[in-house]
Amino acid sequence: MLQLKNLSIVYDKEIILKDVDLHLAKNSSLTILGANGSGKSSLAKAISGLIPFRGDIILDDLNSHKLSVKDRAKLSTYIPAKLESYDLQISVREFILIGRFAHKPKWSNYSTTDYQKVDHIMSDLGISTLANQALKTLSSGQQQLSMIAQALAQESPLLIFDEPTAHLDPKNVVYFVQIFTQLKKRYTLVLITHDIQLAQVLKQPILFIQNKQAKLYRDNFFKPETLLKHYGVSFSHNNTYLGLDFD
Amino acid sequence: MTKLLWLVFIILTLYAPFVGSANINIHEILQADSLSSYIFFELRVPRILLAFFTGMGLALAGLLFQIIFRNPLMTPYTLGVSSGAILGAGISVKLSIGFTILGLTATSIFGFMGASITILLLIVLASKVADRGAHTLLLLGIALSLFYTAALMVLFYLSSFTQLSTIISFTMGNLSTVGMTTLFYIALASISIAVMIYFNRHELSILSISAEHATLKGVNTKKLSFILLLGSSLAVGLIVSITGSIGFIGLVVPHMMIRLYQKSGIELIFPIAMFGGLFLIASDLLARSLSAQEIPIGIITSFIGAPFFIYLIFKK
Repeated sequence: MLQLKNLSIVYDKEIILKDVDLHLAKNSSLTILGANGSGKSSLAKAISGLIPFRGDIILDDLNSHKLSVKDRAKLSTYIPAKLESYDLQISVREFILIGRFAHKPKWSNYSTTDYQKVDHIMSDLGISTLANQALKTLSSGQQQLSMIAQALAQESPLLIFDEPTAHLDPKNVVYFVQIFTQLKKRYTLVLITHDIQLAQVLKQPILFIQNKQAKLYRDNFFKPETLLKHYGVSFSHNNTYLGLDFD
Repeated sequence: MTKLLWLVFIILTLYAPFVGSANINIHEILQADSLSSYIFFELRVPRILLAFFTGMGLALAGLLFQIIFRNPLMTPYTLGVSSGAILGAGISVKLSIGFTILGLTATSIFGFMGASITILLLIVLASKVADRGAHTLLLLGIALSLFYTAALMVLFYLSSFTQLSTIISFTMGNLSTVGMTTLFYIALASISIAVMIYFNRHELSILSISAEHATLKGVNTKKLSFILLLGSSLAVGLIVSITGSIGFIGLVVPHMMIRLYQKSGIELIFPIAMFGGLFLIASDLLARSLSAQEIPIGIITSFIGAPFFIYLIFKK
């Protein structure tokens, strides 16, 4: 589904990432870890067509350089940690409907099918009651769900979540993980996070970014010695501290 | 509240053609060849239509600029497009250029060129500072306006007394230059802006969230912004090249409607267009009735708009 070949990202003449290679099969999933400012979000944004890059990004056998903005939106989308919006009055339903834009013929309105899909997704995620509320009145957790709903309406096979749990309270973190696990069956998923506990719970291959390089770990990432090497602080398995129970 | 507002402005609009320096006899209006009929149908009604389409075009262009830059202070006026038009017009007056093309005077054509050059300059500058946010562009627009004002001062200094009064009337906005041809151009310009916004309403609705969001959802934001900015600025250039500088409509009207209806600006294309028109008709009515001598319309809108501008800055 997603292939990166010699991908490099340069911003303001500074190299952010160098020669990243990756192959992600359809309906598989990946967690990206790395320190602050290591380039995790830049990688996600390059894949989503938001920032320029060198090398190749292949989405579903199509080279990203040759894709139109609209066609790329049909293949992948990026869900930021927090929604920044100039327009604060848009309703949740209208916001989710935006996910259908890439599928809508130019000049025409959204179809009844588009609205039906949106309503269906809202009821699946349990946010139907929010449909007519203004987006600005929602909590962080509800905004997150609206963004996920919009991404699902977009029907792109690749979804990239950037720090999805950063602004969520524990209850919503657990709910997010349930949803994410559900999505694994039908989508190729990439999740960027700082949260090592979350990464461990998801049991996905880890792409670790450090010193402008990316390294893939199929397993063995969560050994204390590996973590010490990567993060420069020691981790230990003990029951002294309270951890969130995801099961 | 909403209904009352509309009612007041509609009544003012219906009342407007009966007010002016010459009294008209209501019974004679429908009599052909009477003086009252001439004043009513040939002067007052066209002037009200001119005010309507000018207000509509400026309000819609304001809405469009605010969405494209996602900043409530953005309008062609605050970015210096009007100042460009005035300088262009001023140059033609000073050089006593007196041709007419397709019903447009040299002053209008030079004004149009001034507005067009300004917007092209802004588009080039905008692409250079795109990552530094809308405020940078706003400052560039202000700097450009100040430069134009300085150049205009030089023109003032060099001009004869008659040239001076022509330029000044353009600087302060003037709706009295009515003729069917100019009315046609202004209606055409305003309707084009409305059409541009309407046919791109879905794209603009997504752009109202953020440029990044729009790209992710499949909108080619660069292309869309370029086409709409250029198209709407040319239309605004055409309007202000005829009416002169009428400021702050594009700032006040979209904001008022968004507050009133509690909806996204892009969902309010029709109310913003209508209220823009009615608002300028009411302002013009005020300009014509406050004193024995007509007050330039641009002064009225600036007296309302400038404090509103300050209010918007504080509200953020």
